[in-house]
Amino acid sequence: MLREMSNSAPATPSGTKTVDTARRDVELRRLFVDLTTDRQRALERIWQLCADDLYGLTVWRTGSRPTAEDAVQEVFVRLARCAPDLTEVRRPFDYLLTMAHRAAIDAFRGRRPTEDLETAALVVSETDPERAAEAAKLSQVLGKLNPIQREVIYLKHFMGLTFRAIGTVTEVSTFTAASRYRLAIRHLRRLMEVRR
Amino acid sequence: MTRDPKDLLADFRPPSAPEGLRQRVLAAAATEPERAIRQPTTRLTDRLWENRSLRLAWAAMVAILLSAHLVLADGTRSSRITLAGSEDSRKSRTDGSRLAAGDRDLLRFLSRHPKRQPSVAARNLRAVDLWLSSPPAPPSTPREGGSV
Repeated sequence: MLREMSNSAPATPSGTKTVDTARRDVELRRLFVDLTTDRQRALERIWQLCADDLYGLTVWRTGSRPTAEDAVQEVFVRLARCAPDLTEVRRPFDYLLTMAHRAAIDAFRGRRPTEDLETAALVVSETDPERAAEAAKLSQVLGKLNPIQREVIYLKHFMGLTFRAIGTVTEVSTFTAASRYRLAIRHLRRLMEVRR
Repeated sequence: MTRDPKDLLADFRPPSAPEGLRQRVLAAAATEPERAIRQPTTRLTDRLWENRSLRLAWAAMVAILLSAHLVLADGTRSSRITLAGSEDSRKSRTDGSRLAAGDRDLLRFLSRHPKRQPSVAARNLRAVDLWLSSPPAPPSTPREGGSV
């Protein structure tokens, strides 16, 4: 989503992108209203805006590509089903992230117990092919993190959300979100030191 | 991987949604039936406030309670006054009748046992004082031809 809207926006040193959140939310709000009248076009536009972010969140939350795909599909099915109730949503993007968060949890719980989770590529590097190996290593390290901590890192670094927004999306308090992030970074640092 | 995790993550990006997923998701969403528009639910307090019969019942209950309070409070005050007055009168009446009865008993006793007068005075000083301060009434004797 925001990748499309923020192609020209530089990444901050911490990895967060400066995106025009107000413009994005305005368009999403309008699309939520259009869902009741022109559903197909509105869904396609929402897909263009948000699919990558929702997919990234669900991959990071579940650690599995098939499970993440199921979760993203569930988000769009719910969008179509609950279209009349979405006209009053104030923060559509956070709302979508929350839907993805819940769908990822449901999909993760709903998988067969015997099904092993793959170690999905949690990070990729398209600009520099030589760094693909490093991305694979980092993905393996990230795969060892707790899914909850991984999700907080994703929302903080790649979505650029505040701890308050992360708390809203993951349905915990602001302090819990900040605490999870701090623990996740500490844990990740420790894992990387061990690997080194 | 010797750098800080925060800096390291800045060089990468999360995976994009696969191409095939778009068609699958949009097809699934297109066939999903739309839920009926949910009617806005009114709050319980609003429904109670707008209920005419409930408001009438409430007003009637307030009126009943107020009138009952006024009536009962007034009745209690007057009955208190009456009780207080009756208590005084009953006290005086009781004292008088007690004295009168004691008087009569004492006189009757003294007339029968004149030697035991001191012990009786010790037992009923008040009656004795009264008896001493006032001239003893003559013992009631049935009149001839009259009823007692």
